[in-house]
Amino acid sequence: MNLLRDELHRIADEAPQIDLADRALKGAKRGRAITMALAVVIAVAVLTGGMVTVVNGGLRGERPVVLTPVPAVAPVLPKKDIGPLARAYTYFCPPPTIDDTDCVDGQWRVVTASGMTYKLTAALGLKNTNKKVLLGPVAITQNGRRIAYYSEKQQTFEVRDLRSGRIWKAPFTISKNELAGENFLRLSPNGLHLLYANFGGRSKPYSVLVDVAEGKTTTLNGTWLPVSVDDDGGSVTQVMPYDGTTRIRVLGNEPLTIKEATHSFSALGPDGRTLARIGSTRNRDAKPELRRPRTIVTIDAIGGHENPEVPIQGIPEELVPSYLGGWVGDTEVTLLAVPELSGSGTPALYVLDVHTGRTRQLRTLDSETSGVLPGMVG
Amino acid sequence: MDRYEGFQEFVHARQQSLMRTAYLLTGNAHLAEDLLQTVLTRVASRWPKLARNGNIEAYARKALVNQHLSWRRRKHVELPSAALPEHGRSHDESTVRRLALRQALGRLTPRQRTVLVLRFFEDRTEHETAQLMGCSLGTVKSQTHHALSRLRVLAPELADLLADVPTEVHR
Repeated sequence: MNLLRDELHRIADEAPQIDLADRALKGAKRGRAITMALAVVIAVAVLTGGMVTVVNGGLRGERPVVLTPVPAVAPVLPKKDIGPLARAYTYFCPPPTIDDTDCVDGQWRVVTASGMTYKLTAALGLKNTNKKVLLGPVAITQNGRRIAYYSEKQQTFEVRDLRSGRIWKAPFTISKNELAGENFLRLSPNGLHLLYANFGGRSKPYSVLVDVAEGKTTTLNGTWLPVSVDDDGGSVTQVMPYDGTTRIRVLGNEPLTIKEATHSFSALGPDGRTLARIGSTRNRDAKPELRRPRTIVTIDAIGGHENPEVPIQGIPEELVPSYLGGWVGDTEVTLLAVPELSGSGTPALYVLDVHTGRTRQLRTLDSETSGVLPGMVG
Repeated sequence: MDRYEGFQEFVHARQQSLMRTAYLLTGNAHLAEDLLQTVLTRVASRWPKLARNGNIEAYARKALVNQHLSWRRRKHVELPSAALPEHGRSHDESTVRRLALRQALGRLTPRQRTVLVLRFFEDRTEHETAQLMGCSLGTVKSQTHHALSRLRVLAPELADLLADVPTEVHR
């Protein structure tokens, strides 16, 4: 008798009885109706020269919510003369009612700041092979002007400048199968250095720092997760979360340890030593104790000093601060907040002052699955 | 022809089995329901294609695991996965042991918890588990090893429960 198996089955016996058929069906029909309606909206928008639908944000004069529809049909990303990107996401084809015979499930798409959506056919997207599920990683520079991705054809990472069309290739090859497991890809603000790590695709964790302009590669200790790299490749920041602690290091300096297990770090600050992380507010009355990520903490990643937690203000209750990104000044960092429960709110990007905890909204996002955002660490 | 023909029959036949897995993955009735509804909505959206070509249940189970891991990665919230069960108030030995197991499961990482559910609740092979989780065989082995080791540390009182489980997972 396997006691663990028996106990797991007894716990599963406590699962509530449910009937979700109608709800799931309604959800699917609603999604299909929206897809069809958006296809019409896009067709009209294309005919009238616009691609962005602006919906007024409510009765109290809030900022308008800009919704960029997810189109069923998208052209291939042109080789050059493209404006900054707002996000990248993987796309799944609708039922075969839309006339797009080239639609590939799991392909990466990019959305520009002006609202245009393109297929990124050069990048490996989600691929379900016989043995493995693979997802080629993508990263976008904070200014949205350069994008890094894994090219299945070239078997390596490429960085593309969207305006000039110039492409830099990493000076090594990685087989598609080595992308199995979890991949982490970070780009420097100028897009010319990339940090890559993989867990699960090889016999050992793998991590490299690549200077795509000079064609140089530095192998790093693969057990650390990449956080950020600066423009000259000198400040490489990595973390290693454990169960109750996290180690942090800026290459060339002694690692330090904080007493919280977290992945939610910002890029290294403009001073070359300040790192921000999302903290938590403990509700000790809840059983079990709940921890909600509602504070921001700054750390001297070189010296080791950690400042007290600062409550984050101005984020709606239904959203949870989820990821941090690059810095927009000496004290302000970008923050992504997502709904705590599916369907309960609209994700939004904020700028957060790490000293005061005050936020200001940059923009709302058009989907719960925000995909890859420029400069975000996550 | 109704594009969703057969969908309701599939859900009625398999939803409770899927719900049991969802409940073990999340440790919370509301989250399990939310998770399963999301997955079934996705199944319905792709129903014509799945009904024509696919193994529907395999798709649903894979989507369940992926969606669960994706939620946990995204939210960074410590969910009330170690909550006391809503019924079963007796405190006999087996109840106490079950509580200890639930609490210990709630303190595993999402991947560790998922690998235990797939290996020891669904009786999946390591290879099947790797396919469902979208990771390598080696990752499944190491995650299983770490998960069992952590259970032993978190809840020494579960030693009897884990006696039949191999101490060394082949690595």
